Amino acid sequence: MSVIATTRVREELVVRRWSWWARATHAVLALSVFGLILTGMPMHYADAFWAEPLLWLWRGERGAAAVHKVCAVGFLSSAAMHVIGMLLAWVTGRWSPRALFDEDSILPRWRDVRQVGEYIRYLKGEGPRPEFPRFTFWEKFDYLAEVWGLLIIGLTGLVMWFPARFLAFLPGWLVNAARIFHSYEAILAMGFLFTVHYFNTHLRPEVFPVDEVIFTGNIPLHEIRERYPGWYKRVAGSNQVFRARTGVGPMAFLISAFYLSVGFVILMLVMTTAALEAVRYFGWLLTGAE
Amino acid sequence: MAQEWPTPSPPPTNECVGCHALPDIVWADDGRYRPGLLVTGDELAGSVHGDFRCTDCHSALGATMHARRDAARDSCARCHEREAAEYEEGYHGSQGVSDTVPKPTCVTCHGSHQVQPARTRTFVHRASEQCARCHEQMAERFAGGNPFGMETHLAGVEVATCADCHGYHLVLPTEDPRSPVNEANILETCRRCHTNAPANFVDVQMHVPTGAIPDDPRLRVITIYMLTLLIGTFAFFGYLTILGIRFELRKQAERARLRESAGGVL
Repeated sequence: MSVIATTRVREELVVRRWSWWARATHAVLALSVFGLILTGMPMHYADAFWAEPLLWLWRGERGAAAVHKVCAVGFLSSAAMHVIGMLLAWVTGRWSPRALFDEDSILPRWRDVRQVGEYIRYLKGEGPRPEFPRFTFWEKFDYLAEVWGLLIIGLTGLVMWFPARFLAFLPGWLVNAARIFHSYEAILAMGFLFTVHYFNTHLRPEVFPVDEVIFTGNIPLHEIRERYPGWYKRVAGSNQVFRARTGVGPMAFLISAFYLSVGFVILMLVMTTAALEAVRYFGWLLTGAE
Repeated sequence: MAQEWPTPSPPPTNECVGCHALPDIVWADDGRYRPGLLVTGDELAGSVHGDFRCTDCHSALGATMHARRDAARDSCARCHEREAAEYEEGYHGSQGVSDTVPKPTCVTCHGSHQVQPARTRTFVHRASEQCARCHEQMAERFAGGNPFGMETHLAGVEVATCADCHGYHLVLPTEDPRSPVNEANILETCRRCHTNAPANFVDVQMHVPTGAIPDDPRLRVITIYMLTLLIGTFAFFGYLTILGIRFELRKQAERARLRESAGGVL
Protein backbone atom coordinates (compact mmCIF):
# COMPACT_ATOMS: atom_id res chain seq x y z
CA MET A 1 0.00 0.00 0.00
CA SER A 2 2.75 2.35 0.91
CA VAL A 3 4.49 1.29 -2.30
CA ILE A 4 1.53 2.39 -4.41
CA ALA A 5 1.07 5.54 -2.41
CA THR A 6 4.65 6.62 -2.79
CA THR A 7 5.05 5.85 -6.47
CA ARG A 8 1.93 7.83 -7.31
CA VAL A 9 2.88 11.44 -7.81
CA ARG A 10 0.54 13.65 -5.86
CA GLU A 11 0.43 17.21 -4.58
CA GLU A 12 0.11 18.08 -0.93
CA LEU A 13 1.11 20.51 1.78
CA VAL A 14 4.71 20.03 2.81
CA VAL A 15 7.50 21.61 4.83
CA ARG A 16 11.14 21.68 3.77
CA ARG A 17 13.06 19.37 6.13
CA TRP A 18 16.33 18.88 4.26
CA SER A 19 17.91 21.38 1.85
CA TRP A 20 19.39 20.01 -1.38
CA TRP A 21 22.83 20.55 0.13
CA ALA A 22 21.93 18.48 3.20
CA ARG A 23 20.63 15.70 0.94
CA ALA A 24 23.81 15.79 -1.13
CA THR A 25 25.83 15.61 2.09
CA HIS A 26 23.77 12.62 3.20
CA ALA A 27 24.32 10.91 -0.17
CA VAL A 28 28.10 11.37 0.03
CA LEU A 29 28.06 10.19 3.64
CA ALA A 30 25.89 7.13 2.95
CA LEU A 31 27.95 6.04 -0.03
CA SER A 32 31.32 6.47 1.68
CA VAL A 33 30.18 4.84 4.93
CA PHE A 34 28.96 1.87 2.91
CA GLY A 35 32.29 1.62 1.16
CA LEU A 36 34.09 1.89 4.49
CA ILE A 37 32.00 -0.86 6.04
CA LEU A 38 32.27 -3.22 3.08
CA THR A 39 36.05 -2.86 2.99
CA GLY A 40 36.79 -2.37 6.68
CA MET A 41 34.75 -5.22 8.16
CA PRO A 42 36.45 -8.01 6.16
CA MET A 43 39.82 -6.53 7.13
CA HIS A 44 38.86 -6.41 10.80
CA TYR A 45 37.32 -9.90 10.85
CA ALA A 46 40.02 -11.24 8.55
CA ASP A 47 39.65 -14.86 9.62
CA ALA A 48 35.86 -14.96 9.39
CA PHE A 49 34.50 -17.21 6.65
CA TRP A 50 32.99 -14.28 4.77
CA ALA A 51 36.13 -12.13 4.75
CA GLU A 52 37.83 -13.56 1.68
CA PRO A 53 34.71 -13.68 -0.52
CA LEU A 54 33.98 -10.07 0.37
CA LEU A 55 37.56 -9.04 -0.34
CA TRP A 56 37.26 -10.69 -3.74
CA LEU A 57 34.91 -7.81 -4.59
CA TRP A 58 37.80 -5.41 -4.12
CA ARG A 59 40.37 -7.61 -5.84
CA GLY A 60 42.02 -8.58 -2.59
CA GLU A 61 43.07 -6.81 0.55
CA ARG A 62 45.17 -4.23 -1.25
CA GLY A 63 42.22 -3.18 -3.35
CA ALA A 64 40.09 -3.08 -0.22
CA ALA A 65 42.63 -0.90 1.56
CA ALA A 66 42.71 1.50 -1.39
CA VAL A 67 38.90 1.70 -1.58
CA HIS A 68 38.81 2.17 2.20
CA LYS A 69 41.05 5.22 1.87
CA VAL A 70 39.08 6.70 -1.02
CA CYS A 71 35.90 6.28 1.02
CA ALA A 72 37.65 7.80 4.03
CA VAL A 73 38.24 10.92 1.98
CA GLY A 74 34.55 10.89 1.02
CA PHE A 75 33.60 10.44 4.66
CA LEU A 76 35.69 13.43 5.77
CA SER A 77 34.37 15.42 2.79
CA SER A 78 30.80 14.92 3.98
CA ALA A 79 31.83 16.49 7.29
CA ALA A 80 33.42 19.36 5.41
CA MET A 81 30.24 19.72 3.29
CA HIS A 82 28.17 19.92 6.46
CA VAL A 83 30.34 22.67 7.95
CA ILE A 84 30.62 24.57 4.65
CA GLY A 85 26.86 24.37 4.19
CA MET A 86 26.28 25.90 7.61
CA LEU A 87 28.84 28.64 7.01
CA LEU A 88 27.37 29.50 3.58
CA ALA A 89 23.86 29.59 4.98
CA TRP A 90 25.06 31.83 7.79
CA VAL A 91 26.91 34.20 5.44
CA THR A 92 23.94 34.49 3.11
CA GLY A 93 21.64 35.12 6.05
CA ARG A 94 19.44 32.03 5.56
CA TRP A 95 20.50 30.53 8.87
CA SER A 96 22.06 31.71 12.10
CA PRO A 97 23.87 29.81 14.86
CA ARG A 98 21.18 31.18 17.17
CA ALA A 99 18.91 28.57 15.61
CA LEU A 100 20.96 25.95 17.42
CA PHE A 101 19.36 27.05 20.65
CA ASP A 102 15.73 27.41 19.63
CA GLU A 103 12.88 24.96 20.14
CA ASP A 104 13.45 22.97 16.96
CA SER A 105 17.24 22.75 17.14
CA ILE A 106 18.97 19.43 16.53
CA LEU A 107 21.05 19.93 19.68
CA PRO A 108 19.77 18.08 22.75
CA ARG A 109 18.07 19.90 25.61
CA TRP A 110 16.51 18.83 28.91
CA ARG A 111 13.17 18.34 27.24
CA ASP A 112 14.65 15.43 25.28
CA VAL A 113 15.64 13.63 28.47
CA ARG A 114 12.10 14.11 29.78
CA GLN A 115 10.65 12.84 26.51
CA VAL A 116 12.64 9.59 26.77
CA GLY A 117 10.61 8.73 29.87
CA GLU A 118 7.38 10.02 28.30
CA TYR A 119 7.95 7.96 25.18
CA ILE A 120 8.59 4.76 27.15
CA ARG A 121 5.34 5.37 29.07
CA TYR A 122 3.57 5.99 25.75
CA LEU A 123 4.83 2.71 24.27
CA LYS A 124 3.68 0.92 27.41
CA GLY A 125 0.25 2.44 26.90
CA GLU A 126 0.45 4.56 30.04
CA GLY A 127 0.46 8.02 28.55
CA PRO A 128 0.08 10.23 25.48
CA ARG A 129 2.70 10.48 22.75
CA PRO A 130 5.28 13.13 23.70
CA GLU A 131 5.08 16.45 21.88
CA PHE A 132 8.18 15.80 19.82
CA PRO A 133 9.84 18.84 18.27
CA ARG A 134 11.35 18.85 14.79
CA PHE A 135 13.83 16.17 15.86
CA THR A 136 13.01 13.39 18.32
CA PHE A 137 15.58 12.38 20.91
CA TRP A 138 16.63 9.33 18.91
CA GLU A 139 17.07 11.45 15.80
CA LYS A 140 19.23 13.85 17.79
CA PHE A 141 21.21 10.90 19.10
CA ASP A 142 21.58 9.71 15.52
CA TYR A 143 23.00 13.06 14.48
CA LEU A 144 25.31 13.52 17.47
CA ALA A 145 26.52 9.92 17.25
CA GLU A 146 27.44 10.68 13.67
CA VAL A 147 29.38 13.81 14.67
CA TRP A 148 31.12 11.96 17.50
CA GLY A 149 31.76 8.90 15.38
CA LEU A 150 33.16 10.96 12.57
CA LEU A 151 35.60 12.68 14.91
CA ILE A 152 36.73 9.41 16.50
CA ILE A 153 36.86 7.33 13.33
CA GLY A 154 38.30 10.11 11.21
CA LEU A 155 41.07 11.04 13.64
CA THR A 156 42.08 7.48 14.54
CA GLY A 157 41.93 6.51 10.88
CA LEU A 158 44.33 9.32 9.99
CA VAL A 159 46.67 8.21 12.80
CA MET A 160 46.79 4.70 11.31
CA TRP A 161 47.09 6.02 7.76
CA PHE A 162 50.02 8.35 8.56
CA PRO A 163 51.61 6.84 11.70
CA ALA A 164 55.00 8.45 11.12
CA ARG A 165 53.50 11.95 10.86
CA PHE A 166 51.47 11.59 14.03
CA LEU A 167 54.10 9.80 16.11
CA ALA A 168 56.43 12.74 15.48
CA PHE A 169 54.49 14.48 18.25
CA LEU A 170 52.29 11.77 19.84
CA PRO A 171 53.34 8.81 22.03
CA GLY A 172 53.52 5.38 20.39
CA TRP A 173 50.76 3.66 22.39
CA LEU A 174 48.24 5.98 20.72
CA VAL A 175 48.52 3.90 17.55
CA ASN A 176 47.28 0.92 19.55
CA ALA A 177 44.60 3.11 21.10
CA ALA A 178 43.61 4.34 17.64
CA ARG A 179 43.13 0.79 16.46
CA ILE A 180 40.87 -0.06 19.41
CA PHE A 181 38.82 3.15 19.08
CA HIS A 182 38.53 2.76 15.32
CA SER A 183 37.22 -0.79 15.29
CA TYR A 184 34.81 -0.52 18.23
CA GLU A 185 33.44 2.79 16.98
CA ALA A 186 33.01 1.28 13.51
CA ILE A 187 31.06 -1.66 14.89
CA LEU A 188 28.97 0.68 17.02
CA ALA A 189 28.27 2.98 14.09
CA MET A 190 27.43 0.13 11.74
CA GLY A 191 25.16 -1.54 14.27
CA PHE A 192 23.38 1.73 14.95
CA LEU A 193 22.94 2.61 11.28
CA PHE A 194 21.62 -0.76 10.19
CA THR A 195 19.24 -1.17 13.10
CA VAL A 196 18.13 1.99 14.89
CA HIS A 197 18.59 4.37 11.95
CA TYR A 198 16.99 2.02 9.43
CA PHE A 199 14.12 0.99 11.68
CA ASN A 200 13.24 4.55 12.50
CA THR A 201 13.37 5.83 8.95
CA HIS A 202 12.80 3.51 6.00
CA LEU A 203 11.51 0.49 7.89
CA ARG A 204 8.64 2.23 9.66
CA PRO A 205 5.41 0.51 8.55
CA GLU A 206 3.94 3.81 7.34
CA VAL A 207 6.73 4.56 4.90
CA PHE A 208 8.34 1.18 4.12
CA PRO A 209 10.39 0.64 1.97
CA VAL A 210 11.65 4.18 1.63
CA ASP A 211 11.32 7.40 3.58
CA GLU A 212 10.79 9.94 0.81
CA VAL A 213 12.03 12.88 2.79
CA ILE A 214 15.69 12.14 2.10
CA PHE A 215 14.99 12.18 -1.66
CA THR A 216 12.51 15.05 -1.96
CA GLY A 217 13.63 17.06 1.04
CA ASN A 218 9.99 17.76 1.89
CA ILE A 219 7.93 16.25 4.67
CA PRO A 220 4.12 16.23 4.30
CA LEU A 221 2.30 18.33 6.86
CA HIS A 222 0.08 15.43 7.95
CA GLU A 223 3.17 13.43 8.78
CA ILE A 224 4.48 16.28 10.93
CA ARG A 225 1.19 16.31 12.80
CA GLU A 226 1.51 12.63 13.65
CA ARG A 227 5.21 12.38 14.31
CA TYR A 228 6.29 15.82 15.51
CA PRO A 229 3.28 17.41 17.24
CA GLY A 230 5.48 20.00 18.94
CA TRP A 231 6.93 21.12 15.65
CA TYR A 232 3.49 21.01 14.04
CA LYS A 233 2.20 23.63 16.50
CA ARG A 234 4.97 25.98 15.46
CA VAL A 235 5.03 25.26 11.75
CA ALA A 236 1.38 24.77 10.79
CA GLY A 237 -0.06 27.90 9.23
CA SER A 238 3.37 29.52 8.95
CA ASN A 239 4.95 30.58 5.69
CA GLN A 240 7.12 27.44 5.78
CA VAL A 241 4.21 25.38 4.50
CA PHE A 242 3.91 25.14 0.76
CA ARG A 243 2.28 22.99 -1.86
CA ALA A 244 4.52 20.56 -3.69
CA ARG A 245 4.49 17.36 -5.64
CA THR A 246 5.50 14.39 -3.49
CA GLY A 247 6.34 10.79 -4.29
CA VAL A 248 9.54 9.26 -5.58
CA GLY A 249 10.37 7.18 -8.63
CA PRO A 250 11.63 3.60 -8.90
CA MET A 251 15.25 4.77 -8.64
CA ALA A 252 14.69 5.71 -5.00
CA PHE A 253 13.31 2.21 -4.34
CA LEU A 254 16.32 0.61 -5.96
CA ILE A 255 18.73 2.73 -3.94
CA SER A 256 16.84 2.04 -0.75
CA ALA A 257 16.54 -1.69 -1.45
CA PHE A 258 20.27 -1.88 -2.14
CA TYR A 259 21.27 -0.12 1.07
CA LEU A 260 18.75 -1.99 3.23
CA SER A 261 19.56 -5.47 1.95
CA VAL A 262 23.33 -5.18 1.72
CA GLY A 263 23.38 -3.46 5.09
CA PHE A 264 21.29 -6.19 6.65
CA VAL A 265 23.46 -8.99 5.25
CA ILE A 266 26.74 -7.48 6.39
CA LEU A 267 25.22 -6.71 9.78
CA MET A 268 24.19 -10.34 10.23
CA LEU A 269 27.64 -11.59 9.21
CA VAL A 270 29.43 -9.22 11.57
CA MET A 271 27.01 -9.88 14.42
CA THR A 272 27.51 -13.64 14.12
CA THR A 273 31.27 -13.31 14.10
CA ALA A 274 31.29 -10.74 16.91
CA ALA A 275 29.03 -12.95 19.02
CA LEU A 276 31.31 -15.95 18.54
CA GLU A 277 34.28 -13.78 19.43
CA ALA A 278 32.55 -12.43 22.52
CA VAL A 279 31.85 -15.98 23.68
CA ARG A 280 35.51 -16.82 23.11
CA TYR A 281 36.76 -13.85 25.12
CA PHE A 282 34.05 -13.47 27.73
CA GLY A 283 32.78 -17.02 27.92
CA TRP A 284 34.52 -17.37 31.26
CA LEU A 285 32.14 -14.77 32.66
CA LEU A 286 29.27 -17.17 31.99
CA THR A 287 30.88 -20.44 32.92
CA GLY A 288 33.03 -19.13 35.73
CA ALA A 289 35.96 -21.16 34.40
CA GLU A 290 39.23 -19.44 33.59
CA MET B 1 67.78 -10.64 -5.57
CA ALA B 2 67.97 -13.10 -8.41
CA GLN B 3 69.83 -16.25 -7.56
CA GLU B 4 71.31 -18.78 -9.95
CA TRP B 5 70.00 -22.25 -9.15
CA PRO B 6 71.73 -25.39 -10.41
CA THR B 7 69.86 -27.13 -13.21
CA PRO B 8 67.90 -30.04 -11.69
CA SER B 9 68.54 -33.58 -12.83
CA PRO B 10 66.14 -35.16 -15.35
CA PRO B 11 62.54 -35.65 -14.13
CA PRO B 12 61.79 -38.54 -11.79
CA THR B 13 61.02 -41.86 -13.40
CA ASN B 14 58.00 -42.38 -11.11
CA GLU B 15 59.73 -45.37 -9.62
CA CYS B 16 59.37 -44.07 -6.07
CA VAL B 17 55.94 -42.49 -6.50
CA GLY B 18 54.70 -45.83 -7.83
CA CYS B 19 54.64 -47.11 -4.25
CA HIS B 20 54.63 -43.90 -2.25
CA ALA B 21 51.44 -42.57 -3.79
CA LEU B 22 49.49 -45.65 -2.60
CA PRO B 23 47.41 -44.83 0.46
CA ASP B 24 48.55 -48.00 2.26
CA ILE B 25 52.10 -46.71 2.35
CA VAL B 26 51.34 -44.79 5.54
CA TRP B 27 51.59 -48.12 7.40
CA ALA B 28 55.31 -48.64 7.53
CA ASP B 29 57.06 -52.03 7.72
CA ASP B 30 57.16 -51.83 11.51
CA GLY B 31 53.38 -51.40 11.52
CA ARG B 32 53.48 -47.78 12.65
CA TYR B 33 51.51 -44.94 11.12
CA ARG B 34 53.89 -42.70 9.15
CA PRO B 35 51.84 -40.22 7.11
CA GLY B 36 55.06 -38.67 5.83
CA LEU B 37 55.62 -41.71 3.62
CA LEU B 38 52.68 -40.80 1.43
CA VAL B 39 53.87 -38.61 -1.45
CA THR B 40 51.28 -37.74 -4.04
CA GLY B 41 51.74 -36.35 -7.49
CA ASP B 42 49.58 -33.35 -6.53
CA GLU B 43 51.95 -32.37 -3.78
CA LEU B 44 54.91 -32.56 -6.09
CA ALA B 45 53.16 -30.72 -8.88
CA GLY B 46 52.41 -27.74 -6.61
CA SER B 47 55.98 -27.57 -5.37
CA VAL B 48 58.71 -25.31 -6.62
CA HIS B 49 60.87 -28.47 -6.61
CA GLY B 50 58.31 -30.39 -8.64
CA ASP B 51 60.74 -31.24 -11.41
CA PHE B 52 63.39 -32.72 -9.10
CA ARG B 53 64.28 -36.37 -8.95
CA CYS B 54 63.45 -37.96 -5.59
CA THR B 55 67.10 -38.79 -5.09
CA ASP B 56 68.15 -35.18 -5.58
CA CYS B 57 67.07 -34.61 -1.99
CA HIS B 58 66.88 -38.19 -0.68
CA SER B 59 70.46 -38.72 -1.75
CA ALA B 60 71.27 -41.47 0.73
CA LEU B 61 68.61 -43.66 -0.89
CA GLY B 62 70.62 -44.00 -4.03
CA ALA B 63 73.00 -46.63 -2.67
CA THR B 64 71.18 -48.05 0.32
CA MET B 65 67.56 -48.12 -0.72
CA HIS B 66 65.39 -47.87 2.42
CA ALA B 67 68.27 -49.04 4.55
CA ARG B 68 68.14 -46.05 6.80
CA ARG B 69 65.47 -43.55 7.63
CA ASP B 70 66.80 -40.77 5.55
CA ALA B 71 66.25 -37.19 6.56
CA ALA B 72 66.40 -35.28 3.32
CA ARG B 73 66.68 -32.04 5.24
CA ASP B 74 70.48 -32.03 5.12
CA SER B 75 70.16 -31.90 1.35
CA CYS B 76 68.62 -28.44 1.42
CA ALA B 77 72.01 -27.02 2.37
CA ARG B 78 73.60 -28.34 -0.81
CA CYS B 79 71.78 -25.66 -2.83
CA HIS B 80 70.64 -23.23 -0.11
CA GLU B 81 74.07 -22.81 1.39
CA ARG B 82 73.71 -19.29 2.78
CA GLU B 83 70.30 -19.98 4.32
CA ALA B 84 71.55 -23.18 5.92
CA ALA B 85 74.55 -21.39 7.41
CA GLU B 86 72.32 -18.66 8.83
CA TYR B 87 69.95 -21.26 10.22
CA GLU B 88 72.78 -23.14 11.94
CA GLU B 89 73.94 -19.91 13.53
CA GLY B 90 70.48 -18.85 14.66
CA TYR B 91 68.50 -20.03 17.65
CA HIS B 92 66.42 -22.54 15.72
CA GLY B 93 69.49 -24.30 14.35
CA SER B 94 71.64 -24.27 17.43
CA GLN B 95 69.15 -25.01 20.23
CA GLY B 96 66.88 -27.96 20.74
CA VAL B 97 63.59 -26.72 22.13
CA SER B 98 63.40 -29.44 24.76
CA ASP B 99 64.18 -33.12 25.17
CA THR B 100 60.89 -34.14 23.64
CA VAL B 101 60.50 -31.40 21.04
CA PRO B 102 63.31 -31.52 18.50
CA LYS B 103 64.69 -28.34 17.00
CA PRO B 104 62.83 -27.05 13.98
CA THR B 105 64.41 -27.75 10.60
CA CYS B 106 63.92 -26.38 7.09
CA VAL B 107 60.85 -28.55 6.49
CA THR B 108 59.21 -27.53 9.76
CA CYS B 109 58.50 -24.11 8.29
CA HIS B 110 58.79 -24.65 4.54
CA GLY B 111 57.17 -28.07 4.27
CA SER B 112 58.81 -30.85 2.30
CA HIS B 113 57.31 -32.17 -0.90
CA GLN B 114 54.95 -29.26 -1.32
CA VAL B 115 57.65 -26.60 -0.72
CA GLN B 116 56.67 -23.13 -1.96
CA PRO B 117 58.78 -20.13 -2.93
CA ALA B 118 58.89 -17.87 0.14
CA ARG B 119 57.65 -14.79 -1.69
CA THR B 120 54.33 -16.23 -2.80
CA ARG B 121 51.04 -15.15 -1.38
CA THR B 122 50.34 -18.63 -0.04
CA PHE B 123 53.58 -18.73 1.90
CA VAL B 124 53.32 -15.25 3.40
CA HIS B 125 49.69 -15.95 4.14
CA ARG B 126 50.70 -18.82 6.37
CA ALA B 127 53.96 -17.41 7.68
CA SER B 128 52.69 -16.24 11.05
CA GLU B 129 50.70 -19.44 11.48
CA GLN B 130 53.89 -21.41 10.90
CA CYS B 131 55.55 -19.56 13.80
CA ALA B 132 52.39 -20.01 15.84
CA ARG B 133 52.62 -23.79 15.68
CA CYS B 134 55.31 -23.55 18.34
CA HIS B 135 55.03 -19.97 19.62
CA GLU B 136 51.40 -20.35 20.51
CA GLN B 137 51.14 -17.63 23.10
CA MET B 138 52.79 -15.04 20.87
CA ALA B 139 50.52 -15.88 17.98
CA GLU B 140 47.51 -15.33 20.16
CA ARG B 141 48.99 -11.95 20.98
CA PHE B 142 50.00 -11.06 17.47
CA ALA B 143 46.75 -11.86 15.73
CA GLY B 144 44.47 -9.47 17.56
CA GLY B 145 44.85 -5.85 18.46
CA ASN B 146 48.24 -5.03 17.00
CA PRO B 147 48.78 -2.89 13.96
CA PHE B 148 49.62 -5.78 11.64
CA GLY B 149 48.04 -8.88 13.07
CA MET B 150 44.66 -8.95 11.42
CA GLU B 151 45.94 -8.07 7.98
CA THR B 152 48.56 -10.76 8.26
CA HIS B 153 45.91 -13.40 7.82
CA LEU B 154 44.95 -11.97 4.47
CA ALA B 155 47.99 -10.21 3.40
CA GLY B 156 49.66 -10.00 0.14
CA VAL B 157 53.43 -10.21 0.24
CA GLU B 158 53.76 -6.64 1.45
CA VAL B 159 52.30 -7.08 4.89
CA ALA B 160 54.61 -7.66 7.83
CA THR B 161 54.70 -11.09 9.43
CA CYS B 162 56.72 -12.31 12.41
CA ALA B 163 59.74 -12.90 10.18
CA ASP B 164 59.85 -9.36 8.83
CA CYS B 165 60.86 -8.03 12.23
CA HIS B 166 62.40 -11.08 13.92
CA GLY B 167 64.31 -12.40 10.94
CA TYR B 168 63.86 -15.84 9.47
CA HIS B 169 66.81 -18.14 8.90
CA LEU B 170 69.02 -16.28 11.34
CA VAL B 171 66.47 -16.12 14.16
CA LEU B 172 68.12 -14.74 17.29
CA PRO B 173 66.93 -14.07 20.83
CA THR B 174 65.99 -10.44 21.48
CA GLU B 175 68.98 -10.04 23.82
CA ASP B 176 71.43 -10.82 21.02
CA PRO B 177 72.84 -7.51 19.73
CA ARG B 178 72.55 -8.82 16.16
CA SER B 179 68.81 -9.42 16.45
CA PRO B 180 66.73 -6.98 14.40
CA VAL B 181 64.39 -6.61 17.36
CA ASN B 182 67.20 -5.90 19.81
CA GLU B 183 66.68 -2.56 21.50
CA ALA B 184 69.58 -1.07 19.59
CA ASN B 185 68.28 -2.14 16.16
CA ILE B 186 64.54 -1.93 16.49
CA LEU B 187 64.05 1.58 15.08
CA GLU B 188 66.17 0.66 12.10
CA THR B 189 63.97 -2.41 11.62
CA CYS B 190 60.82 -0.24 11.62
CA ARG B 191 62.46 2.08 9.11
CA ARG B 192 62.98 -0.73 6.63
CA CYS B 193 59.32 -0.19 5.70
CA HIS B 194 58.35 3.07 7.44
CA THR B 195 61.28 5.01 6.05
CA ASN B 196 60.39 8.20 7.92
CA ALA B 197 59.57 6.59 11.27
CA PRO B 198 60.28 8.94 14.20
CA ALA B 199 62.07 7.68 17.34
CA ASN B 200 58.95 6.82 19.35
CA PHE B 201 57.73 4.50 16.59
CA VAL B 202 59.26 1.72 18.67
CA ASP B 203 56.76 2.40 21.46
CA VAL B 204 53.87 1.06 19.38
CA GLN B 205 52.98 -2.26 20.97
CA MET B 206 53.32 -5.10 18.51
CA HIS B 207 52.09 -7.96 20.69
CA VAL B 208 48.82 -6.73 22.11
CA PRO B 209 46.92 -9.77 23.34
CA THR B 210 43.94 -10.89 21.35
CA GLY B 211 40.68 -10.53 23.12
CA ALA B 212 38.71 -7.64 24.29
CA ILE B 213 40.66 -6.58 27.39
CA PRO B 214 44.34 -5.76 26.79
CA ASP B 215 46.94 -5.84 29.58
CA ASP B 216 48.14 -2.28 29.15
CA PRO B 217 46.13 -0.15 31.63
CA ARG B 218 45.62 2.70 29.15
CA LEU B 219 44.36 0.40 26.42
CA ARG B 220 42.31 -1.41 29.04
CA VAL B 221 40.49 1.80 30.00
CA ILE B 222 39.80 2.63 26.35
CA THR B 223 38.50 -0.86 25.63
CA ILE B 224 36.21 -0.92 28.65
CA TYR B 225 34.93 2.56 27.77
CA MET B 226 34.15 1.54 24.19
CA LEU B 227 32.56 -1.74 25.29
CA THR B 228 30.36 0.08 27.77
CA LEU B 229 29.31 2.57 25.11
CA LEU B 230 28.58 -0.26 22.69
CA ILE B 231 26.59 -2.38 25.10
CA GLY B 232 24.84 0.63 26.66
CA THR B 233 23.73 2.04 23.33
CA PHE B 234 22.37 -1.23 22.03
CA ALA B 235 20.75 -2.12 25.35
CA PHE B 236 18.90 1.21 25.43
CA PHE B 237 17.80 1.23 21.82
CA GLY B 238 17.12 -2.50 21.89
CA TYR B 239 14.75 -1.91 24.82
CA LEU B 240 13.00 0.91 22.94
CA THR B 241 12.70 -1.26 19.83
CA ILE B 242 11.15 -4.14 21.75
CA LEU B 243 8.66 -1.75 23.36
CA GLY B 244 7.98 -0.28 19.91
CA ILE B 245 7.31 -3.66 18.33
CA ARG B 246 4.97 -4.63 21.20
CA PHE B 247 3.18 -1.31 20.80
CA GLU B 248 2.76 -1.83 17.07
CA LEU B 249 1.46 -5.40 17.50
CA ARG B 250 -1.05 -4.29 20.14
CA LYS B 251 -2.24 -1.56 17.81
CA GLN B 252 -2.72 -4.04 14.96
CA ALA B 253 -4.59 -6.47 17.21
CA GLU B 254 -6.83 -3.68 18.44
CA ARG B 255 -7.61 -2.66 14.87
CA ALA B 256 -8.40 -6.24 13.86
CA ARG B 257 -10.70 -6.62 16.86
CA LEU B 258 -12.55 -3.39 15.99
CA ARG B 259 -12.93 -4.44 12.38
CA GLU B 260 -14.33 -7.80 13.48
CA SER B 261 -16.88 -6.33 15.85
CA ALA B 262 -17.90 -3.81 13.18
CA GLY B 263 -18.35 -6.71 10.75
CA GLY B 264 -20.59 -8.46 13.29
CA VAL B 265 -22.88 -5.45 13.46
CA LEU B 266 -23.08 -5.23 9.72
